[in-house]
Amino acid sequence: MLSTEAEACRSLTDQQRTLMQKARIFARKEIAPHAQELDWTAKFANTIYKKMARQGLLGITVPAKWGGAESDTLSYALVMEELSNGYASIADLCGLVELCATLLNELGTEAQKQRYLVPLLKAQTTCSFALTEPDAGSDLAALAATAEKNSRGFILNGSKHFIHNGPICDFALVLARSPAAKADDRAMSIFIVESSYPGFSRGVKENKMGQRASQLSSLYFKDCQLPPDAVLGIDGDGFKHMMVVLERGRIGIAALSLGLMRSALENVLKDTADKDRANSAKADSQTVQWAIANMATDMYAAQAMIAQAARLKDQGIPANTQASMAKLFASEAAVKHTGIAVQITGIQGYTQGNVLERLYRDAKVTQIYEGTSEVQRIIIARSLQRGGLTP
Amino acid sequence: MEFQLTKIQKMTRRAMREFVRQEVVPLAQALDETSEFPSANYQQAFGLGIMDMALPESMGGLGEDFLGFIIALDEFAYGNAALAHSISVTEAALHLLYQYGTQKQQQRFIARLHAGEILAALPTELSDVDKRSVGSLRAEFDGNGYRLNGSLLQVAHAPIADIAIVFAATANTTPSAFIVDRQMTGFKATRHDALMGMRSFPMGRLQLNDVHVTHDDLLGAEGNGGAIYGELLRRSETAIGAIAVGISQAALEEAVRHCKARVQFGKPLAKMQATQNKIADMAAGVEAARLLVYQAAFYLGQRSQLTTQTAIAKIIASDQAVAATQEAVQIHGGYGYMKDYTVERLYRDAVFTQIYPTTNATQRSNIAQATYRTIR
Ligand SMILES: Cc1cc2nc3c(=O)[nH]c(=O)nc-3n(C[C@H](O)[C@H](O)[C@H](O)COP(=O)(O)OP(=O)(O)OC[C@H]3O[C@@H](n4cnc5c(N)ncnc54)[C@H](O)[C@@H]3O)c2cc1C
Repeated sequence: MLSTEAEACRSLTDQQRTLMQKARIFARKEIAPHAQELDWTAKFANTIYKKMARQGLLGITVPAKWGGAESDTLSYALVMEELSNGYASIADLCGLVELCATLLNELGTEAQKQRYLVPLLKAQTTCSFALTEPDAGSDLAALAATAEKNSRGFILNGSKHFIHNGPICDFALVLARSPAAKADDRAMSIFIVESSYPGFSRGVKENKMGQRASQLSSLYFKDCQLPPDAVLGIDGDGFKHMMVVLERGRIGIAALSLGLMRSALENVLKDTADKDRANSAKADSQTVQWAIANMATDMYAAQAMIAQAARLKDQGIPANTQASMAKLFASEAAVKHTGIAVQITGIQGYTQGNVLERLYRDAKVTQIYEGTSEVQRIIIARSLQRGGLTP
Repeated sequence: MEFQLTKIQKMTRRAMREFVRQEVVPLAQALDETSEFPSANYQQAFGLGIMDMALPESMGGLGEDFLGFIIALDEFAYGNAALAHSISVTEAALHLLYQYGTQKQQQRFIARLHAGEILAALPTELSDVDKRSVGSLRAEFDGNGYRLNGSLLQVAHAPIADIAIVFAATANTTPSAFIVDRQMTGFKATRHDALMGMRSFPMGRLQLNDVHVTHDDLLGAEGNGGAIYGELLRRSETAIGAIAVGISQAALEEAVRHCKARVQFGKPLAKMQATQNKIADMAAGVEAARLLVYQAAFYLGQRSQLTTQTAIAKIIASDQAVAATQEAVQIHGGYGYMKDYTVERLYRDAVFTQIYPTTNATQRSNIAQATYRTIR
């Protein structure tokens, strides 16, 4: 079993280590045995979701009084890595809850926290985080969903797509142009939209290449009536709010990519250690050894980058660039190495039922969601060009 | 090297391109979802004379060379790589029967294969050839023939084939090639679990339990299996190379269409430099791979003495296909991860070309060995 343990334990706090170990055991016992079937059936992992809440693995950075683990970004990254080592879709579910819960915790009123945050962290409800639109993917500033004030609150119109938990969410945090937009056309707000509001509807569930247990669909808002207290945070500051949580989100996806890569490495090691079979030659093969060495090296680099970005953030130092670098590096490495792992394993690794087969499909989206690799490069380059992060 | 396609080859390309876009492309996605054998397209390909293109006219073929076939295969793979693979397996079986079969065997099988009445299975377990026992199949003399025992794990068409060409060695002879029939007692074929991609291609396991074959079932001379196998391998490598090229071409075209149409930040993705670099690399890669594959096919068709040309073409083309499909999905962003988009299938299909008929790692080691022999 490879882990961050040997390298990192000395500098982990008790709380960080405890959470990591809890997540690891949970991944091994409760997630990994079901990953294959979840991939096949593409169903929502409801049981695991509930158990995850009971184990205290939701809302890692949220204060205990709201039901969170009251820990830090590094703990969150460690948990994401471990969960993803079991199955990436489950980690992504944890990450989704973390994003929504962070927004609710940091921006919500007492009433909003009671109504949404508390039941969410008990897994009594499901949430969505809805930014992307058909015409606004990487270019989020182009989004068209708009809320207008009316006598009963707000009227929301527009549509979102590729929304995780879309087919099942009880409420969604929706980024839309706000009435405050008059002054500044980037002004947006985050609205809490319950699925029971009139004018809310969902699209059909998407059929995806990988991370198939993650439920995705469009969300449609047609003259959707929102109450006056549906705004989360400062009306007009929604875009800024979202960008701040995406920083943690990117660290989370970097960790998810890492967990997935670790799983590929573990499987290659297991496969080649199987000396009974005719392939004892395989363990001695330099092709295999090189693949293992390169994968492990990238893994350790990713671990260090993720820990660094997380620690900066935990110290209150802006870590946007570092988070982007970690996400870029870890996701590219995950795709590359899961591909190589399949290739050296041959037809078995290409057959459904083999973990590597799933990992190669699961990995690809890490280069796409929460900011594509290209978007990360733009963020990193701009930051350097503006004199940040002196080389 | 002189390199120019003949008039007929150019016509083949044009005709196939049109056919594939009309008849193959529209069915590909559903076939991927259901994993069904692409029977309709397969029969159509027979009707067009694709599989026996390289057979002489006396055998009912078109008398074209292997390159003509490879060009057609490239076009078919553009539409459906799994279908193209089935076509190439049948082509290889026909070729082996024509090249090594007795007149009687040719009469028995070629016409029926030709008519699409029967399907032939071919093994891929090449790694053990060097050890003089192909796969884990063994043959034993039994007076008036042989008894075949053992199983082959990776057999193209096994689950639905009527006959199979297999290779087996006895304890003290080099391997021989045999034609076994599904009707023979002890013949058992099972379908593999679903694969990541190439899902409508039937792969399976072939198990032979004391299958009795006579001298009539020997393909080629006794003990000559190694050479026949080598020929099959070179043909498969070239075909897989062509399939990889077809996949890359499809990935390139999908990526180009998408990046021209998709606008972000006020301009089409096509106008962004990062996209242009990717498209340029994909276009360059597909061109390079295609040339290598065509060159290998050309030499193979001329029956030149080949060493590493087919294997080199195959590793370059397959690595290129994986790189191209990864970029094509990336250019599609979230859309590329959805099964509604062709690139999602291409991404899964491409990996197959890196591991079939053997993994690129094995091929690299073979290429190195051959290179050591030539450069002293
Ligand atoms: C499984 C999955 C889950 C998701 N979950 C959610 C969710 O819960 N909530 C949500 O809001 N969204 C979600 N998304 C959407 C995701 O965030 C977007 O797909 C992503 O931001 C990319 O946007 P796009 O798909 O529109 O691609 P596009 O923005 O169209 O990008 C296409 C390609 O062009 C490149 N590109 C774009 N602009 C530039 C540029 N200026 N320079 C160079 N290259 C550029 C991109 O990097 C990409 O390679 C999810 C997507 C997937 C696949």
